[in-house]
Amino acid sequence: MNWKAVLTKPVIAELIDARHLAPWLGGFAAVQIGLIALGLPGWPCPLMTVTGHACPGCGLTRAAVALLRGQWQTALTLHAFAPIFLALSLAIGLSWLLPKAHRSQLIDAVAKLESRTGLTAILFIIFLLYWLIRLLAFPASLAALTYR
Amino acid sequence: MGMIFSLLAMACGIGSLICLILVLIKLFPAEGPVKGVLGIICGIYTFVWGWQNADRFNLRQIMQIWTVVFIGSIVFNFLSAYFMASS
Repeated sequence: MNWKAVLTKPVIAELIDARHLAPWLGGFAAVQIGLIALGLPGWPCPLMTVTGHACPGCGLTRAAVALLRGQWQTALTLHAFAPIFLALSLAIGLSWLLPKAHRSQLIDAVAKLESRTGLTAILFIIFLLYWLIRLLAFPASLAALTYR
Repeated sequence: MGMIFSLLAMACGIGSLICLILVLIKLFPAEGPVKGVLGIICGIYTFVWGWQNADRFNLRQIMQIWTVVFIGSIVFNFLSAYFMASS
């Protein structure tokens, strides 16, 4: 396998480009954030429900809600990737509303950035390392994410 | 009552996890490892991707089951929390 090609493959640009996918993703994310913001149970993480252990993305929705409320410290304590997650969600959601020419420019720019730097793959690797460090070194921080 | 709903929510969670894994098995080779990891991190992406590619990868039945347990897990979690709080 050509790992360089795999790691520099534009992923976010493809997500922005997939017009049929963006509104569904944006809609689901908005509903999930809305439910959590109202204090209602959203879609529970299947891994957490079954094993009791947090998955890499556990806490992201609650962190995003805290971020939208301006509670930076709470957001970063729940999940350090909340600002990136929220920015990407907004970018994917809002790009759907952009005129075609501007969308194409945005997609080109993001694709170039991803393929030159491998930024998305690097972020994913850091994301997984962050989860592993929390899981092994700070299990209490992840246990606090349990609903019950 | 809350306990029953809690157990039902857990059953839906197990169903959800199984469906997630079954869809991830198709997603990884089709989209590559980076999007595969995205699918693990973000279940919503895997869910939407599964429906978008249900016919292409013969996932329609799995996606129908996943949708039922997905809605079930939200409803049962809500009912469980409601009855636990009121008791």
